[in-house]
Amino acid sequence: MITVRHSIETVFFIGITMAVMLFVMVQRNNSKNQSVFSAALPVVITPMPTPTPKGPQISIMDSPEGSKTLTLEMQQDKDITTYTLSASSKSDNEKKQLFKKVEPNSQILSIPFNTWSTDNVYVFLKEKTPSMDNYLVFQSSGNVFPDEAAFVSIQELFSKKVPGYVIEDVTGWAGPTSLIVNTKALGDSRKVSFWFEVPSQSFIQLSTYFN
Amino acid sequence: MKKKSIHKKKRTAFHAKKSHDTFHLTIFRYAIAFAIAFILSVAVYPLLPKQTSLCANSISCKEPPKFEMETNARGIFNNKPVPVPNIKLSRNENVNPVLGAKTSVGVKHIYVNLATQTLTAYEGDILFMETPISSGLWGKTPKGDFTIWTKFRSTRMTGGSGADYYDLPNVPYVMFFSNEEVPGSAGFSLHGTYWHNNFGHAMSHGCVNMKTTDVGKLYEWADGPVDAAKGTPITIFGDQPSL
Repeated sequence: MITVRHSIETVFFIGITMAVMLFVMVQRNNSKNQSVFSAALPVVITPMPTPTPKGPQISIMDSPEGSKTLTLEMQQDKDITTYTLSASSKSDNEKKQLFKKVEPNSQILSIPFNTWSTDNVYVFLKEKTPSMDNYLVFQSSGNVFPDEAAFVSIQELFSKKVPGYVIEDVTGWAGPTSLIVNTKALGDSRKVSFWFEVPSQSFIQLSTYFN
Repeated sequence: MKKKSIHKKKRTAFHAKKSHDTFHLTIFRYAIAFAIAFILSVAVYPLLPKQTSLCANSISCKEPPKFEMETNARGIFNNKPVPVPNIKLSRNENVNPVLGAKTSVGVKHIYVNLATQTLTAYEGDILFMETPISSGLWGKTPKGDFTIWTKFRSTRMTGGSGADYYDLPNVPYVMFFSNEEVPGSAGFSLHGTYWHNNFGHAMSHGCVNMKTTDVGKLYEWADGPVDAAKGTPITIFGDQPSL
């Protein structure tokens, strides 16, 4: 009788243990699958301007569905470059200037591949400086933001609103108004993603890291 | 009286020893059982169905994929509303493909590199397209050699739950792919994307998301199965680097 009871207990124990082990293995495998995210592209296929001896260099990027085009003209003159950003719609072919800026040649403005928001209302530019990268958000209509600014500087806003983290990259749009901002914690190696909500100009910390 | 006391002590010692032995025996028995369970788990685990063999869209996968198009539809992604573009069919899109109707300069092949999050398409040695994509973030993109199983100009994809819920009508230029391990009905495909613009970074539930203008060109270029001939081959390779 005791032997039978022992056998039942043993089989039951083996069954429970196996179930727990398999559950843990499957969970571990799934979490590994989800946490192993892609790296940023080393070379993004942003159309690069062809250097010409005279005249401006032009970089363009169409919106994802192709109805609008963002154009960045770069006119280099000795140590400075004049950048002119404009957006146009293929339906009316009208070009609206969004921004004009003169930068020293050590600072480079460029159009990221994912520049257009999903509803084509916003665009963002990358500004590479010797010390850090900045990201500027514009309204593609050419309208200014409620504070009369032509653009929002994500780096400036982030350092004011979210202490303890530094921006590593702004990769693209998670939706019509949410830009994905990848950051690193100061003092340790934690990597944290935020959504930058353009209308409210607020940062929302995410549990998933969008590598 | 003294004899009784000695007898009682002996009996207590005997029971203590018996209890001690039983305890050790039980521990030993459980250790053996645990070892058996461990060995069986390791043996059984590889036989379990993996996540990639399930499906890309947990809700819409329940029915066979079909052409679906809706005017002024509403979409949801990550449980948030997203604007849905209407599908404009061009004149040529309803024409059935005819084998050999197009002049080809070589064998077509599509490569998806998960490590660099890029897609390249070749016709023979000639590069037709190179563009960033978004592969699986919330679900795994299957790796291996596939062929295009069927093509739809537009369909609806639904899945997830809670904060992860999505319902996306009018997903444009969908090319479902399959092989012997991953059936076409599993719903893995290359397709256009209107709900995010974050290409070059993992952002899908297992499909290969592409910029709509790019996937439109690829859709026209790539072949679905015609008669006995399989569709354009797709090779998905590389590992998404960990953090």
